[in-house]
Amino acid sequence: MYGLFEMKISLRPDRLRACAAAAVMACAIAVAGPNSALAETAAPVTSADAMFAASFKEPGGTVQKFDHLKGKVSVVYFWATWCEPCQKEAPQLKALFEKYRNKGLNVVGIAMDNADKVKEFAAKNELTFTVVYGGREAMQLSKDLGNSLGGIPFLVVIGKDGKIVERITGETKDGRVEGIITPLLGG
Amino acid sequence: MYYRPLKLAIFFAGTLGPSILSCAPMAHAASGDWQKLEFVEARLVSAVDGTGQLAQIPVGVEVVLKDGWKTYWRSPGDAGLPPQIEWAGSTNFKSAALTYPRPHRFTLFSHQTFGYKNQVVFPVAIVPAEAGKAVDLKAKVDVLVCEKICVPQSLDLALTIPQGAAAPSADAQLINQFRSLVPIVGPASGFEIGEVISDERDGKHVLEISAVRKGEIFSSPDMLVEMEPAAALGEPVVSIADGGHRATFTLPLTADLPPGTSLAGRAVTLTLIDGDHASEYATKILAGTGPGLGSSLSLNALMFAFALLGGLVLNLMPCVLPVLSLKLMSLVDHGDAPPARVRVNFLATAAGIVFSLMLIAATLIALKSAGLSVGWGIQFQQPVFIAAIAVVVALFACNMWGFFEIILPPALANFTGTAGSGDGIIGNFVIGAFATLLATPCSAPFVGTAVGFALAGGTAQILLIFFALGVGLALPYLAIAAFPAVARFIPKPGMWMVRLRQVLGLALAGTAIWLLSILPGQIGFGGTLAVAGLIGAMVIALASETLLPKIPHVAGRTAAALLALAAIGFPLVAKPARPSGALAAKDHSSIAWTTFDRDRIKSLVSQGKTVFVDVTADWCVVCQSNKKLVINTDTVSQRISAAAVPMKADWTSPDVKISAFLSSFGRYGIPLDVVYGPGAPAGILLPELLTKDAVLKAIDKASGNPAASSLQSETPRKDGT
Repeated sequence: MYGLFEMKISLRPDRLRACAAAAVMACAIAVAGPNSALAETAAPVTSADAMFAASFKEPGGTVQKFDHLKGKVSVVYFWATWCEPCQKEAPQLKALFEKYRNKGLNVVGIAMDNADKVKEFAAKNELTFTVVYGGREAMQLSKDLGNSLGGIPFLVVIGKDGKIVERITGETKDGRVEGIITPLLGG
Repeated sequence: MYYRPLKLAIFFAGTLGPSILSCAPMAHAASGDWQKLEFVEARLVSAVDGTGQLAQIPVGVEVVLKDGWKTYWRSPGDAGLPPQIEWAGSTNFKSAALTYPRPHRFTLFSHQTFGYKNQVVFPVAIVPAEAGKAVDLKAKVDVLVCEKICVPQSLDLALTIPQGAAAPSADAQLINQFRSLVPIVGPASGFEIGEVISDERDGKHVLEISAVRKGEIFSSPDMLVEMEPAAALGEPVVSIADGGHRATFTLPLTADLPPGTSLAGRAVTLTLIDGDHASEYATKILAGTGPGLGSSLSLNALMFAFALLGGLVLNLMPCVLPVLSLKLMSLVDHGDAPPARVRVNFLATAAGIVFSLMLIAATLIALKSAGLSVGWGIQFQQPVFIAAIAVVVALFACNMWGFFEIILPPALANFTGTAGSGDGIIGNFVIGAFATLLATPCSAPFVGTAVGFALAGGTAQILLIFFALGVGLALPYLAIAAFPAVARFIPKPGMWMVRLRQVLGLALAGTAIWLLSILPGQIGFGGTLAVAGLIGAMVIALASETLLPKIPHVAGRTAAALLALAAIGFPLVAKPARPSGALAAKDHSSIAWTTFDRDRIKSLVSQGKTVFVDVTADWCVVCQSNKKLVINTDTVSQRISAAAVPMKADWTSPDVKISAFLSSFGRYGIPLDVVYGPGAPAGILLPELLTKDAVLKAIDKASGNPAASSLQSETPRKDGT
């Protein structure tokens, strides 16, 4: 009588995509460790060296290195298409980048996602700043830059001296990032 | 993973039923240890204390979220990730089937996501490699949890289900509680989901799905659509009908489809949720054949035909008929006119009609885009308008009676002519415009449907339908323009023409009196008497020209002009007769009408009462005829009084609540009659031209007493009434 139960495995493409995204997430977690949020007790990271040493792919396949950010003011933004709060931040960062790019501001969006999703999102929102993607390496980098909770959106402001000036987890209040970068760019 | 929830439900019942009867000793490992992270904690739970001889063991993954945090359904929506569970490291394990309780819809910045807050248990059926032996489960559960930030969380859970009797555990109830929230496939769900139609509404892509709930009525239904390839859909607009048993979901597509692609043919999984009940149905999207305002050519054509026919029928309505008399007179006057002249005159009238309807359409479009309520005949809610029209109609009557003729310089008269004399292009054009204005308080069959369709649609629909109405209303004039020879059949001028003018003048005077009869509802009886007196004095002043030749024309006309202005201006200073929407002071009816109150309808119906709602206005000619021929007849009025709470919505003056009530039925004009009751909580909409049978049947159906219908309607016949 228990044979009534029947299991079917259906590999529907939309679910496959979700699985792929989940796999990225799982890799990220594997590096971060399940209790990372609680275990993070180390002294705050002040150096952005991990960022300068990193390299990620753009959705088009080109590999981006970030050593050229040394000596410049940069905003590094960790996000994902599956992250609801992140979707509001991207257009704000775009506006910030366009306002200050001529004054030497760099903005890098690092997505914990797959290429197709990132490409679609960047095109839809007409993002003009550098967008790259990565799985566990991206999560690891955010942790190396001080993302103690392992949550996104997570934003880091790096000064010309290569030091981390500010890190923000969650939504950034209007004008907060601008208030931080303006003196950095001026100096 | 995909599964059959119904079979799973039977499985659970089958598993637990016999086990309850067994007296095996209780095992202890029904639940694993909690693993607690900052924003989420989780554990494995089992519905049985032992594996017994079960081919499938019912367990669950319990996830408890911190306040305000959520996690996601198998299709998370515009953001989010579904939970992922891996069973690597488990022993005596063959496979696992994860199921998802129905999720909640979360809307944030127009993003739609589906998931869970607080607590959720995902029921899982574990198939052991070898039945009857202990199962050691190791689950790596990856969930995305979000609040103001999103944190991917990974939890390592474990649970051992020992060998022994499969008695229900302490957590069996918890698992079953969430198991009952898993959408059911097929008729056992109590829902019947119809086809999915991809269509266009107002130029936008939508999916339309209808569903029926058997036995019970819908309370707050929602429809979740998963499709391949995926498409972003907004929150559905739900309309409930059929006494609450039928729901139609219209889901807008929130992102444009790639050019040349269509939703038709895509595979969809529909999840219908109403409270804690949910049903799942897999089907394919069909191409739209329904009433798409933006795209459906056939519906537009049908409504165009309705408007054409409605416009034609309007000519026979009492409000327009007097205008026909004006034109009839002009035909008589020009019986000997050359056909070309007759043709031009009648074409000018037709043009006047079409032009003024387009003008009304443009006004309605402007009002609508300004967010104001629109409707057919709404200008009759303004007493100034009514007084002005009454003055103009009285002037036409005076002209018919020969009290005054407007004499223009010959050169100008050749082109313009005089309104009412039937001569000249502009005069005929003005008559056409006048016919249109008088037509607006009349709703004829087809007119209401077509105008409702137009006003619910876009600018194109409004222009198209009003153009058709104009052409329909102008058809008699166009017919004469096409065959001007008919004028020749009119007898030679003589004394009969004078008499005809007098009769037609009386018809116009009748129209003026009818117009004035609307006013008491708006400016009171005293105010109406004043306007009537001023118009009467105006008529006398004009008549003095003919009847008392000693009085100079200038004096008579100046007095008439001043009186006309006073008559039109009086309603501006007169006090409103009653607050808008309130009951008319006087109603020639035995029905004890109560004032319209939309909220009260719901509470009355919930008390098991039937409510008859009549939306009417003093200026609505069809409403008055409905009252006289149907509502106030003994059969119907007695039935309404005995079986229903009669509710009257008086739209004589503007009323936002009544306008909103009308538009909830897609109507923008009156009459509108609706019957609510336990058998029809959403209301039964009656036809514009009421029939006794329709009213009686609707009351019986709404009261949930169809048997009474024949009994009640036959009783009067037995009495010979």
